[in-house]
Amino acid sequence: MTQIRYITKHLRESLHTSALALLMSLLALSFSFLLLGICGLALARQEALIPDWLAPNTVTAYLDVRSREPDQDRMVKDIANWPEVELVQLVTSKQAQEQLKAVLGRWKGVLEGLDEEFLPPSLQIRLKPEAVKAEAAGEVAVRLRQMPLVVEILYGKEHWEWLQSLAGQWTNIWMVLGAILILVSILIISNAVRLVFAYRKTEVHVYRLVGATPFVVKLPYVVEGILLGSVAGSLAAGVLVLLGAHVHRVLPAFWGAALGWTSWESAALVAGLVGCGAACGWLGTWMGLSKSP
Amino acid sequence: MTGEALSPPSVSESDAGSKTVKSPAMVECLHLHKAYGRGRGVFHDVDVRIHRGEFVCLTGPGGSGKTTFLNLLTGQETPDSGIVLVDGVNVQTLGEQKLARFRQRIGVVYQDLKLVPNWTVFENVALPLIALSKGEAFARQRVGQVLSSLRLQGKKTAVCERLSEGERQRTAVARALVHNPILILADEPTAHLDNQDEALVWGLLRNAHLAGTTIIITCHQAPGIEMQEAMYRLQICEQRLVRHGVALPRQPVC
Repeated sequence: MTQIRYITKHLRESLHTSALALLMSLLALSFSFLLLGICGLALARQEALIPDWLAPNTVTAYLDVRSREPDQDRMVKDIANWPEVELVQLVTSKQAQEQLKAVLGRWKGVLEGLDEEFLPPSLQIRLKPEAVKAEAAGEVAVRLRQMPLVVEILYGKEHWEWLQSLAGQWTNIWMVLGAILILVSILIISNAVRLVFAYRKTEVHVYRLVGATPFVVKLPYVVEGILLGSVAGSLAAGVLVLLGAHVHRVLPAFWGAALGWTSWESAALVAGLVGCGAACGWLGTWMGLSKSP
Repeated sequence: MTGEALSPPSVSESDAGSKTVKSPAMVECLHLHKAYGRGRGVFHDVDVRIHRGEFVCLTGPGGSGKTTFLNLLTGQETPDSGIVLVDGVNVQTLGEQKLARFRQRIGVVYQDLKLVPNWTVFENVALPLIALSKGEAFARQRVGQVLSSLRLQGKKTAVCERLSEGERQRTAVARALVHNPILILADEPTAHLDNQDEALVWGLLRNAHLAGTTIIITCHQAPGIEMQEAMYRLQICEQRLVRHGVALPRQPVC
């Protein structure tokens, strides 16, 4: 009986004698790797996870109160020709006040007695859907700022920057979560291997007495740990690949497009999770057996 | 006749870093002390030398330390003081790796047999060959050979826990012989055997002895007269080892 046959026999016996413990470990590990895969995907595609429709699609340029109507009309015509712009609407001071009154409703009386032109006229610029990006709004704002009658520009810059900084924080969150999941996986494998080792202590004792070196004694357990990790990684990767293939059918169009991963990403996911499983298996076994007598 | 007066052998440092002693003796004990707690002394200042190729029968009343002596030689127990050298190696100073390499060179029949109960006879007997990373063809051939000589060829695939006491004892003997060790330590190897199987085991031990293997056994009953000619007796008496000539008397006297 060679070493390989001994290892095969060892695995067969472990499956037979510790089936429930191994199955539970496998399920727990698969779940852990599933979450790890989601973390990995989120890390790789976090920019795609911020929907473009959260980017500013409207730019408001407030004009000088002293600006005249012909100048304002000329500006509207000029801006309407810009490639990113879909629609430009002039809101005069009077219109702005009417809109404000509509918003205030029964409190509109507070505006009585104020000058009719106390609110500045403004240009409401709507961007084309294909140009709805933070950069596009920014570029439009820069060009508007160069116009002499424009005094203030609002396009939700702060809101967008806040979203972007949140995405930056997500990187750290995913990484910490991933590290915790890897640690949990190692501990699960370590405990599973220790359990099997304890169950087979008679065999291990006899094996040592007949002259098996520590490496030879531990080899079947290392193989077992690596296999356990790899199988769990494969299961998790399989679930994620299936999910990636069908996610666009379940989720709304945007999220479906953002989360449905390409075949290249699927291959990377499988390789990553199986590799990570094997590495966790090796580390877990090493950890589990280092404490065994 | 008491054990030979011994002077400490010269100790040298080997390449591997372990202390090895060049000596014609297979087993040497110097100023060996061993006790299990206060008032339960087993060995007191024991000096003993067993040369290569000798066949030694260790006798003594129950609880006198026969199994302890064998455990000291295999590194399962450590002396309270003194040195135990086996094949020039101080067993107590060996690390895990070197202890395993050392154990690969010896064959042991334990009193409680130490077989893996849910394994077959073949798997149990082949275990030392797996530890030595021998090929499958060699293992099959060698295990088959040893099992045949112990009338166990028909039990090759039988699970050990379902064997009779005698069959299990013979399996343990087969495991001790399968890898042609340089030293065989056997703790009452014929305790559970009938006359026919006992003669079979003695015959195999005798053959191993004739091939140059050093053999140390413990026994209550004296073996047949033909074996007595080949061996001498070490008797444990008042925490010391006393050597009795070449011939083994039927009734040990303390």
